[in-house]
Amino acid sequence: MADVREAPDSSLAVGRRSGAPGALLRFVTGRPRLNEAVPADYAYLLPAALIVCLFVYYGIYFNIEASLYDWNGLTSDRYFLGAGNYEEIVRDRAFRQSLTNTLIWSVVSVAVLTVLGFLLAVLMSMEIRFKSLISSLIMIPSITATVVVAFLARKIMGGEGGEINQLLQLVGLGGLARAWLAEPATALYALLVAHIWQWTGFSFLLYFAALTLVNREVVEAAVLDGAGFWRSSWDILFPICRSTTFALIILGVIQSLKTFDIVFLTTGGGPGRATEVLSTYLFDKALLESRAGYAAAISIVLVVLALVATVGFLWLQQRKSVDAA
Amino acid sequence: MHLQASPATLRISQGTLLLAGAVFAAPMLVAISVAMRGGGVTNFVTVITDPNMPRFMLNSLIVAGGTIAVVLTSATLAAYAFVALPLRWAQPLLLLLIAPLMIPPASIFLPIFINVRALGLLNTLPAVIGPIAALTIPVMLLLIRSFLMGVPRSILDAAKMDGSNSFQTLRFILLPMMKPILVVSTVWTFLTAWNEYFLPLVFLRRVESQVVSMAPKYFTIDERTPNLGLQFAALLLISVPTLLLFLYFRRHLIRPVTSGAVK
Amino acid sequence: MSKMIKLTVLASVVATAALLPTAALADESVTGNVLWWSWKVPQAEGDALVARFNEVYPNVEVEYVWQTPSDYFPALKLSVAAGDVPDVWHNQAGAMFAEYAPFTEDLRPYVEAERGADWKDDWYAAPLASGITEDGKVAGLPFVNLGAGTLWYNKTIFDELGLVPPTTLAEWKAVSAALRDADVIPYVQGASQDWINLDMFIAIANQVAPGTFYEADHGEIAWTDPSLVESMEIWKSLFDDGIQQDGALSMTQYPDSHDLYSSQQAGMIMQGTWNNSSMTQAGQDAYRNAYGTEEVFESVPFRFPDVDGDGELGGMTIDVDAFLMMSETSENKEAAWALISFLLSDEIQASYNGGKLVIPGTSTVALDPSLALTDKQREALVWEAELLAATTFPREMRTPEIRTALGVALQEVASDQLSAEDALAEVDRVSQRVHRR
Repeated sequence: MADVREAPDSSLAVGRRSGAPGALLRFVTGRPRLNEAVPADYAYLLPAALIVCLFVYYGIYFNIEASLYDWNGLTSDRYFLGAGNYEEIVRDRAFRQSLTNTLIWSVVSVAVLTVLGFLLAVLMSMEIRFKSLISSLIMIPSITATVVVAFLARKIMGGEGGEINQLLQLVGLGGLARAWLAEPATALYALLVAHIWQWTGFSFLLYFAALTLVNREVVEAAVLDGAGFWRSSWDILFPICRSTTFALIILGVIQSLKTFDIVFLTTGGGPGRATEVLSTYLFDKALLESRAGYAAAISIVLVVLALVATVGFLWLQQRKSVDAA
Repeated sequence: MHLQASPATLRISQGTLLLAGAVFAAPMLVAISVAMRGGGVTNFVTVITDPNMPRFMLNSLIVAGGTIAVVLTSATLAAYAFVALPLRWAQPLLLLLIAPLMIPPASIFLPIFINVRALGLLNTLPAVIGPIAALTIPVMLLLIRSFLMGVPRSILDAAKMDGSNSFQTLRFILLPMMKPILVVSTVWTFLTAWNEYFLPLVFLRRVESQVVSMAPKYFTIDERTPNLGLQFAALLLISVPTLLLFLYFRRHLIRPVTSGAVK
Repeated sequence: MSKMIKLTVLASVVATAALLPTAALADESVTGNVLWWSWKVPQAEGDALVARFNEVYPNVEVEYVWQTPSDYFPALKLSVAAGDVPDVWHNQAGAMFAEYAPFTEDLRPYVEAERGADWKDDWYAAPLASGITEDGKVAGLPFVNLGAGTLWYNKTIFDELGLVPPTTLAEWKAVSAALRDADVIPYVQGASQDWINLDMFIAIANQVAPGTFYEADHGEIAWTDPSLVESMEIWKSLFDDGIQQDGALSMTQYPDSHDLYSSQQAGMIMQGTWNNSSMTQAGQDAYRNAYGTEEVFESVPFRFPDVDGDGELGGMTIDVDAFLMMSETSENKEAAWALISFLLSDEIQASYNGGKLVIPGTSTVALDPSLALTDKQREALVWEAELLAATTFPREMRTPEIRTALGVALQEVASDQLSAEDALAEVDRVSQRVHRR
């Protein structure tokens, strides 16, 4: 029985090969020492690095510098504060609330989107009818402008006239009806529902793409062995899609930490600060309150958070793939 | 490739998927009903026949096309390098290329503005293409990299046996296999560039260089009240090209690519 | 001292106003390119104004860019911060005025040269003064003014149900209940947006203890002053007692609330004089087209009810709705001034602002009540003018941070997250920090 878990290797780095096959490879490819890259190899990174440096890195430096000042974002007078803004952040109750909201948002949205996307992709890989239609329907929210999603969210999850509440009335659960986005206890989660509705399509698409790589024989061999459908999915397919999962998680975490559009366009952070996330709080500070230095400090905190999370997940991914090898 | 499953499982799955399709599509019915306000189907006609539309669409196409070209090329090259080549400091380099994702766009609008002005690109389409590409490359890099990590090593080894160098491996062996992820990347990048709102707002001042995401806001009743019917009709129509793109490229997703490649 | 907001019962205003030169007298000596930004004038209307402007000044090339209000201010800030300032732009009163004043050209020499030494008489005193900085720089001239603090009701529905607009809090509750029974949303407000919540709160506070709000805003008294706590509790009661609709906190004023009111699903709404255009034929036609309905309904402003039981109905606040400003670094100042002066001319003020029944920037132009469709609406214009003449209370707050803090506080109290005292204590904390700086 082929050990299906070995077949897809997450590391293609040829230099890792040892022994006779390694020597052969090195001979064939003409690399003096396969563990080293020739300078030309780094050239592959050049286009990406160039564009990213040109447009974004100056921005990161700009924010680091601005975060050290008390500045209104417009005029050139600013007062040096050193770590003043950061100290204030630590004491800021509203910041803590937006941080909490952001973390909840991250965990919930990444978890649900990953699981839903995977499930839908697996289901779709069976002999299903109307595949084209269904996958197009699932993708529709993803290609819709967030402005539309925000409006639909306010309307459908609105108070008395909202479609969700009307539905609840219809099935006799009228007691559950409430203004989902207007009540602090439910607002953030209602927004999450809208967000997940919007992006499940892409998650599904990614997993579907990853599943196309799955070697049919590998799966059939496992199935022949008597593994049931759900077992196969979990034991076989999910590990194969491991790198997709990791990418989705890393991306999901980074993107969700800086969630802005859907929150801003739907509730604006309200009621109060019930749905305030780091990006909307930052926007408030920078543009409404004209405290650009403080806002810059918040962005740096955000970047650090994202960095920590990414490093963590990349390391995890590395470990998992080494384990599997 | 189809997974084998019992008829019962199949039926449940079919039902679930149909339900999912309905759940994802149903709210759009509300959107369509809003789009019909005031003029019914003629709203859509009004939007399409707006004299500015063709120019807006063309500009958006240029922006989207330019962004896709830049992003896909840069991201594919870089992703391949990270996965297939023994780069030193791979982790830090990867982090450096992903880090741009981590900063909220709102925080870097001003620095980008300063940069764009310094480069003399204000009011030109590259002023929009550049930043969008810069913020999308990290995403595509991660996705393509993860996709490539799923490619069986045996395929690459076989290529090396045949004597191909790194670029040839990429071009002739991997690229055909990457169709699914390239499809996803193209659709995603197109979507991002097509729907981008704030960058064109700030950098493209002349009406001639405006993009299509700006179109809906012009349909107003007065300066503070939007004409929702026309705006929604415009928003829905604007999302049609992305849908068409997705449908067109879908076939590349369905065909199993590796079955039989390795015997 | 503020001048009476002028009204006239004469049909034609243009006949008595100073006219702009016609094409025959066009001034070809002024040349240049002018970039004009605004959120106040829709693109089509702006282009029409530019066309008229070019009849008078054919050699000035004007590029007019309209943005939605929510796009305009971030975009303006970005541009100005990067050194890319439009030649002419509209700006808001309050904190925003102070922020942009350093980037403007002093308009005093221009306006003095044009209108003479007593140029100030052509404007209402309080709004004009708010456009002059401490050191006497005329940073902005009022293009259009506004009054806030009024409520509006759907007279058609009210007549059908035999209701009259409420004059006390108790009546407000009763009317709301009656409307709910008839399946009409009683009162609708976009409570997810600070600006309308502040209008409401200021209206309440100005009733409970006139002037205390502004003392707090200036840092002279604490925000936890008993009158402000009382105002906050009245604000909360609007939500608890069924006056505000369910889910108000997640709705926007435009388009959500305004939509519900305009489509007759809601009976009352809070709007200021900027909404007066709905009383004109042109305004009604625009709405009918957008909603595709032939139904007309009568929408009338009414005075803010007596919410603190002292027998006095509410007044109004007045402020500049939009200033016109010129960039200090403009390369076409003469042309830019030509545009500004054109927009402030009687002809344009009368036809553009007067036509919408909003308060013109200049006081030399009178509103024509006959443009309003019904008697009740014309009456409203009269008492609005009286109230605006009698008030000195500004609509905008001075400090953006305190404004944001108060906005958050209003939402937190309305949604039961904080008590009135605690919420105001938070605002006070912010206020102290700001005034300490």
